[in-house]
Amino acid sequence: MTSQDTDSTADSIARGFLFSSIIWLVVGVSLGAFLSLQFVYPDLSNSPYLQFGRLRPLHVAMMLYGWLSMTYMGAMFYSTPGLAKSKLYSPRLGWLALATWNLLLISASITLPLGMTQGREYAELIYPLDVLFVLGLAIIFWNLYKTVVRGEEKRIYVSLWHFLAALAYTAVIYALGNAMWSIPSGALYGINDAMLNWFYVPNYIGFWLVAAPLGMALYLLPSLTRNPLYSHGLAIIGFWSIFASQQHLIFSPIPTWIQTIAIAFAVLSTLPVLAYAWNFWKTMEGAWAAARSDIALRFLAAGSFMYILTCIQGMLQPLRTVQSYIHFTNWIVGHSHFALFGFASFVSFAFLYHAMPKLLGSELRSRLLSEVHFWFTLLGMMGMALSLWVAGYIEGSGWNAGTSFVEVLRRIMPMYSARSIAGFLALAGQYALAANVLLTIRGMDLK
Amino acid sequence: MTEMRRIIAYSLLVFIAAVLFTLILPATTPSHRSPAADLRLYTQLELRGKAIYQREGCWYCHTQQVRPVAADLGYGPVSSADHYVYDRPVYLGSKRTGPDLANEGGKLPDEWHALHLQNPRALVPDSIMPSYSYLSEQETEAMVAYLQSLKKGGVTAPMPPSTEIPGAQLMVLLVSLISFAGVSAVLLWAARSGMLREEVKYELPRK
Repeated sequence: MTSQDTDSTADSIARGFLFSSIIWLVVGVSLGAFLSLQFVYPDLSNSPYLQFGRLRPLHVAMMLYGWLSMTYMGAMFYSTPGLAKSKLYSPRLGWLALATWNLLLISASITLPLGMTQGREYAELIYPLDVLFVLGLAIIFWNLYKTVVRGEEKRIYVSLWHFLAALAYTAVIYALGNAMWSIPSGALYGINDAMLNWFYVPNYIGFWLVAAPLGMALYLLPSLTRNPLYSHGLAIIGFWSIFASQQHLIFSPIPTWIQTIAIAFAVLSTLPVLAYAWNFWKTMEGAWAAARSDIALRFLAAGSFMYILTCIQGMLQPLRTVQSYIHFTNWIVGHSHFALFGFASFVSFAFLYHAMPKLLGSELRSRLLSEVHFWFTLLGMMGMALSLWVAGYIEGSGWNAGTSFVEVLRRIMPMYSARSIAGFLALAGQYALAANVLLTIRGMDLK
Repeated sequence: MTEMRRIIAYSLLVFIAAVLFTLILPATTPSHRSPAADLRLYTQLELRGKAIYQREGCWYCHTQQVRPVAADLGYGPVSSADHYVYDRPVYLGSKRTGPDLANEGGKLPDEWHALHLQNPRALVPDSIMPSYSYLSEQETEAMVAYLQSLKKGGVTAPMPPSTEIPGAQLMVLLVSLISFAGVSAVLLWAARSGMLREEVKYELPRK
């Protein structure tokens, strides 16, 4: 509650991460909108450097490693010293992490359009960038771990759990999943390569893309509602029950028994979802009205609902009957956008709207731009997800009925157009956010 | 911070167990390493084509796995692990923006593939595949050779559809029921043991 809780160096580093993340957000969503156009106008460009197969991994890298990861890291630097009643262990390592992560993204923006890829999903980056990735996570982990153990606070708030474990697990899972002992291919021979790749992907998603925003949400819930968190124990149960395996390889040539285990793990993910949903509902008591005026709380509440919904999808999708219908279709693309541009991004936006006024020393300049950002992002994201889900249904039913591939493609073309329009709406929302932050910065000197 | 150390040790243990059980154990399956009787090594030309397939990200839109499901009936024999032994990485794929290519080899003449890579819409008017007209003649030749080599199933007896494996459905049902029972039991235990009704709430420091 007192001013000594704030650590101004850590705040500066957090500000650096958040500014970077907003830049990568705007670039990454622009790239996504451009890629969506290529489905509607396949002859839009004929440059090898703008080819869909080369830019798709860059869109993913910018959104996951740029936008989401750097917001998470900003949140970690912002909240850890206060939660641990401590000073940031090493500001120099903090700045180094910021530089490393931006260097990673800039390098990826050069290597991926040049076609330099390891050819594995979520693991495309070439070997030197894999090293940067793991180093970046490791130095943040070390910095924050030392900050926590040197702190006066003896109880470890559950958000710190999420942050430290997410950093450590992700570094290990990334090195393992990218087969970093196999230089420089970063891959294995045969079907075991697919098993490793798809062991890594859902665990990277679970331990990084989901666990870190859950940590943020558990920090934001009490901060924004002014209620103490309903249950610390429930939040810890929610954290320890995250685990996933090869649920993306149902019906593939891997052994059937491991597919069944993967399905069981997916069904078990009910536990973290129920734990968070319960905690969210109880902590929100009496604070619902505030979500109308407080844009951060509104983003958090919307993101929490999307977490619950996307996890229900995630539980049902690996079931064999469902898989035989939706696997390889646009349904899955809709699901990943709903989970990452919905849940994970909305919680990240909630954090931005919570922290930006404190880091900039002033409220955001335009309420209108904030509202535009919220509604355009929500409508754009839902429009994107819904059109992709409908396309997925059409594909699944067509393929199962034995309809020719081209005929099914013809039937889903209107959905590709709808997805593109919704995507541009979402893009406009992100420009509103960037403009709002820019106006606020230009209106004042940074403290 | 002994609590911290205990938690780190515990999480390491869980992680190692998970890796052993869901990664190392299934990786020892014999067919993952021994090639199928009809599988041959790639030629140099095919390997060059494979590198271009990887560079251009063809594998984002084309899968290379035929599953034992109704939707894949038109794609030929079901894929088996022993046909991927010489692939590094494997391009199983996760999305079919275009059709599956697991058994593409020998289906169409070389000239068709060469022209299709240059201008897909000349042969398939409604196709949304990008044009790869910027590939050199040599690169196109290599790509065609790679595409013609693709054959991910055949000699090995096709895997029976997983849903027909005796007890597979029952096993899923059982595991799911146990999971749900486990979830409910943990939550009930937590509620009854007072874990959810903490006397001292953690006060978040406010900025």
